[in-house]
Amino acid sequence: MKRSTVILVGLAVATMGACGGTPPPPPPAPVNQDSIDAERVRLDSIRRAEEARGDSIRRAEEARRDSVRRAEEAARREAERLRNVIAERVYFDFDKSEIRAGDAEILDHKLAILRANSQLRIRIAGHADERGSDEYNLALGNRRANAAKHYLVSRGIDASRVETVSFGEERPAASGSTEEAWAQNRRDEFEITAGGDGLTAPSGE
Amino acid sequence: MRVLAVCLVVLACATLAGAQDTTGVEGGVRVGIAYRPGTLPAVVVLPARADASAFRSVIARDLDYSDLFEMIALPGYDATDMFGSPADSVSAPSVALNYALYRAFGAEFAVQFTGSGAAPVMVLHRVSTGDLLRAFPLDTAAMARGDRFYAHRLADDIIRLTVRATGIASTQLAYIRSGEVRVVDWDGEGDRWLTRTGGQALSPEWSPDGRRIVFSAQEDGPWRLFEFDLSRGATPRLVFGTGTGLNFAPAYSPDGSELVFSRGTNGTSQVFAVNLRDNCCLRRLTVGEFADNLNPTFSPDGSRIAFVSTRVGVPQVYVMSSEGSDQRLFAPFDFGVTGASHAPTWSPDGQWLAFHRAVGGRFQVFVMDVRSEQVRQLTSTGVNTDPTWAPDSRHIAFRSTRTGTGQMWIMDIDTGRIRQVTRRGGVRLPAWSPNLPAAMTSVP
Repeated sequence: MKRSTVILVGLAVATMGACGGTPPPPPPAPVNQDSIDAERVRLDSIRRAEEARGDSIRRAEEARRDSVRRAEEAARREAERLRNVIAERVYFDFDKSEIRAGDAEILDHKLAILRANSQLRIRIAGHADERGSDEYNLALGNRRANAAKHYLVSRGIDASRVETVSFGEERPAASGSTEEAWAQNRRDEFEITAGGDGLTAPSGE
Repeated sequence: MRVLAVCLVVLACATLAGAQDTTGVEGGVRVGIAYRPGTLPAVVVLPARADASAFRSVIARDLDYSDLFEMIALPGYDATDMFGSPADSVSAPSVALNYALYRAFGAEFAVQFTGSGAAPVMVLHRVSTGDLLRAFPLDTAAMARGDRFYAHRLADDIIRLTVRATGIASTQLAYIRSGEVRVVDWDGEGDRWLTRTGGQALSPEWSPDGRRIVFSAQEDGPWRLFEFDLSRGATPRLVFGTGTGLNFAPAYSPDGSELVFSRGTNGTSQVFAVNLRDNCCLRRLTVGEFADNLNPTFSPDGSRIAFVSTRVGVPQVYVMSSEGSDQRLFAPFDFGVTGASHAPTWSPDGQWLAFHRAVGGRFQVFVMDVRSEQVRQLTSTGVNTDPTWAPDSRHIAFRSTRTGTGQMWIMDIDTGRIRQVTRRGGVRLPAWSPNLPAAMTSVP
């Protein structure tokens, strides 16, 4: 647009130059309407070409950003999924610390992620329902946390990567004194303590 | 004779109400407390002048709560001129007592408040023989500032001089509410915070000299043991060797130099000991790859430790030497029938072991005679847990839900008489102090 303005001004100057100084202005030269139209067409095409070029750069840029965004989103979702797999709780029978048969699969998924991410460290917190004594429940929570740790360590995870704590009955997940609440509270919780950014999915998943 | 004295209210009614655990039989459980009314010496606590009446009330209540006397209550003692007014006369304070009159009411002992305005005296009489046992000049400053422990200590003196027993009036109980350690006087007064950790505290225990309290606490996962020095009021001190991992349920050795506690190992919890005097020498007393061993409690002679073990699956009470050897079952149980047993605690005289055990899915407080290893159930109403012994080895405090909320209660195991100590719920893990030295009980 700027360039076409300059050209128009140049044309005007050239036209005025042809008029001379003092003598009365000669009758205006007949305007060559065709050449003006041609120039206009030429300038338009330049402008359109410029615009098209700008648009394509913008589109390319947007496309690039989109793809980055999509990739990041996908990675974020994947990391989130992996973190959720790590965080999935396991539950226990009353006064028991054995991993239930159905819960071994939950631990197997964590195991695969721990194997694929050697920087990843976790903390397992064992919890109890309110029915044992306050102090016994600390011991029970300790056994439950260590049952899950033992499962992972006995399958090749370095013991130093898995920390355990017991909260006994001090941090119930569900309140109330019903069998339903108790079942919710007899659990291990899993928390990432280090290396949780940029988790890699285990191969084969 | 006592009953016939119509103006006297022997607290038999209260006693019967309190003994509900002896009569309330739930779920086919038989309870073995024998209450024998009428065998206790009766005491009358005479009226005091106005400025000593609160002081007198504390002493009268202490004698009542000791469960060592039958209290002869005076009917609205302001109007009891028939007994003779308290001697306000400055010129001739009298300690004379109409022994014949009180003998007629069945009193064995009488506590009299007399003396001049500036020099009040509490006089202890043996009515039955007409003897003046002791005159206590009273500390007016202590009375004026409402020093309840001054009164509690005098009550314990009365108990020693009359029935030659250990009084427990100058004691407190530590317990947990809202994750913090609190203390309350044995009569329910003076309930207050001891810690303000903002974290989570459990399992307070008093040192044998009453100067320290140990407890376990966690803020971010690890359970550490801390010792609180009551005489210094300092911040709690971390117990050697307990900075990481799971350390809980501590108990002092009888001389206070050692602490035994439960410690999480790689998979189970085991009993450990640590030397408090030299801050050293963490040692392990139990082993077990598949069983927890926890909740240790020393015998008062220091030779044995009772503890809970899951070696047969269900937690039960075992005993071993203080070095960890000679482990065996302590509180008998029927395999597959008897419920889980927890929280053993040895009485200061060595004769009893109290603990709680599941009966029909609810915990009840039990006591075992250490010599015969006979077990009897003390409670049956509500859920009753975590017993702790008074220094007299006759009273226990425990947590009970019998009113619907978790409160601290005290029971006289001889008579089954019980009373409620706290009025706000959420009480956990009470721990009874020894008789406290004066320095520990100054008004906070």
